[in-house]
Amino acid sequence: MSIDNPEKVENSSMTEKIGNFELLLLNISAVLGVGILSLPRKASENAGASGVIAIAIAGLIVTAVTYVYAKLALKYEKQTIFEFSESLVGKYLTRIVALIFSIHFTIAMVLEVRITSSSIKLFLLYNTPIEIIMITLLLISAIAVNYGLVIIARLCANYSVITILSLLIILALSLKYFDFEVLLYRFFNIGFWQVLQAAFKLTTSYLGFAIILFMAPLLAKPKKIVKLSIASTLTVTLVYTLTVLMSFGEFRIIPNQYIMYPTAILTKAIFISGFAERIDILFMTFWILAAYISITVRWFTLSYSLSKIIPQRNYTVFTFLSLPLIYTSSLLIQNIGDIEKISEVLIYTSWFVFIPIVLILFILSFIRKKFYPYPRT
Amino acid sequence: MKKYKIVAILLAITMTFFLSGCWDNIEINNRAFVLGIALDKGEPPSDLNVTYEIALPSKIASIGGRSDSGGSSGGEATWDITKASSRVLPTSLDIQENIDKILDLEHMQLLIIGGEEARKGILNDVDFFFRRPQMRRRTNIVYVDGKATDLLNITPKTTKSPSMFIANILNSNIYYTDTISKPVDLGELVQNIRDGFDFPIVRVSIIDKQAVIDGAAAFKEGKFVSNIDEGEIKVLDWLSGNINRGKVEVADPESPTQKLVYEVHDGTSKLKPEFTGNKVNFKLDINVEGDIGEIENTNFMGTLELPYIEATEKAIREKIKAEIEAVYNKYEKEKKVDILQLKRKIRNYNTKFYDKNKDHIDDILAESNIDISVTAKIRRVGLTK
Repeated sequence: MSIDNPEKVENSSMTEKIGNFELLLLNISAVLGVGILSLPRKASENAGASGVIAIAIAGLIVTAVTYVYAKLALKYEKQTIFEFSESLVGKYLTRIVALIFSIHFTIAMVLEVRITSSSIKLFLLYNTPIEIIMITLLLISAIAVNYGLVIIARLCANYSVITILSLLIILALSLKYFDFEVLLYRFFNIGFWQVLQAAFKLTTSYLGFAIILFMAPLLAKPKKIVKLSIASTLTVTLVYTLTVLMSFGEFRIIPNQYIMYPTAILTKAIFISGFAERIDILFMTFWILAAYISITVRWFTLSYSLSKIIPQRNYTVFTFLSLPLIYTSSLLIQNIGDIEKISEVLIYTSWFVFIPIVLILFILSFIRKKFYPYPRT
Repeated sequence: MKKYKIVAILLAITMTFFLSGCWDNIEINNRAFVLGIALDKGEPPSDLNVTYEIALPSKIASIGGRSDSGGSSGGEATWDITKASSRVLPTSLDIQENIDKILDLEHMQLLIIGGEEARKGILNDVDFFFRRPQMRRRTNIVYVDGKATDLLNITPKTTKSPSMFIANILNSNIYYTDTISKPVDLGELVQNIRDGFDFPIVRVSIIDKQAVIDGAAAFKEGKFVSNIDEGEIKVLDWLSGNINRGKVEVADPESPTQKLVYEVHDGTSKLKPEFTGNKVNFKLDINVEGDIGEIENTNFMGTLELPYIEATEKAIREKIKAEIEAVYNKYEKEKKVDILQLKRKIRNYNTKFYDKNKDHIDDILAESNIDISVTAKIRRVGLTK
């Protein structure tokens, strides 16, 4: 069964596969979302001056997890996670796995929609009701989700390059205000164990790589999935580490903890006398695109997981069925305090539920292979 | 098929309502662009007088400056409105009673702090500017000895708006003179406040309705504590690492009663703290290069002689060293105001030491010493031998 929308697959363009470049950017786009705006604050709150190291370590931890994901995807290159899970643990356990995945993706999705909408309201649309911002964001995402993963990958290939480039330009322009002495801070000023703890908390900033488990059947060259997935995780790690470093260099450590969205403020601080005064407007446009794509990817994984709990050939039914749930749940979040609390929940769902399940499947894939060399389908 | 066409037409019509605008649509001519804000001490029960300098775009577009009556050739180019309140935010809302446009802070150029308000302390006044998403981080901040509002009544001859006039000077002219300190902007201010550091803010004096950058004002714990003289400003730059331009007046080695002016064109400096137990001392290395800009001894022809150049360089080195020591002793040791931002150096180089001694760091600085090493090079002598 194709994980693309079967109705759309009839269209010849939909039968095309995801190329290497698209795979790389799909992985990156799935992660680079709204979280980057508050990333330096979180790094600074959790690890002080060691935040730069903590975010880099978090990236390396996620790279290790990504490696496991990609190896699994490569092993069952014609199947998605739920299909090979069925051959490993059976139909009913797979449904439970799909349920757990769905809960995790729903929390992540609700949070992302709320944070994105709140940030759009704060920086761009002060008077527009948040309900309108949310529903607009969800409806345009629904269109892309409806067209399937190949089209989402095309979106990533077209727009994410611009987003990443704009971010790198912003970081380069921020060099003017960078206090190089910040590099003199002893990065391990809180002890390695605390840095590691902070790194675990910061791994939530890298959420989104689970898409690897859903894309294998659509890849033009599935053999490249491990290399490209690791390349994409390392790219995000580099971008995140640079962002935190630049923010620390410009705002310094303690002031960073006071700023709600340091990355956004970093762009607001750029001033090229006589040439440009409000570069942040440009950055915000690209950033909305990034948030939109990341929400779309998240929603795709959610809809697809839901279609495995109540087996349905067409996952898009669940895209539209989950819309009211996501919308109302996002509206139920009352304030920034709620967002912080739900983010904490997300750390637990990802580290203590979501990742162990994939690891168990990974281990089982070896045990099963030993006893049943041919996967049961 | 016909049914689909009707649905499509209905959708297209509905879309026109959504695409024609949004809640946030404010036409540019309906925006009241604030160029500057002046903060003055108010009369009870309102503690604060906030004056907004609002641009009148149609008048600002014409070339030229302000006339002595306050207006430009085509009438006044800006409109000052003062509102009193205990906080800044209520004034930004109350001002809508006075104007038929929507207040817009996105292009604000200058925040002016009045003398009395600065002495009272600005920590409670600035939160609005840090919190507002529309604010520019690069908005410059200046201090006026008297009333901040008076700065909005000056008559600059080249620019229509006093705020733009001062902001232009601060953004461009610091590269051409050593008497204007590196301006502290909103971003820099918030960082200094959060870190608990002392900081200097550019001081502006008003003489005959004209504004003059006149040294700086030193702030400690958010309160004005001391003026910094114009001649002392260059020391701040010499210690900042990046030396742009400046002048050093020394006695001419050939004729000690006459003056020689050395013009600094470029330079670098490195300031490092050195820790011994609970004490800290500083090591400063300065390298400057420049030209002989002016000598009083007009008929002297020996400027190309190596002994003369070496003697002049020695005099320059000693003068620079003396000037730095004077500022260091006056502010860091006597007044205990860290205008040279040495606390930042200490924290950057030894966070543990800083955290441990944070509460009495001023006393540690008062006991500290600075070891200065200067290299001054004369590269050219101008067009006259």
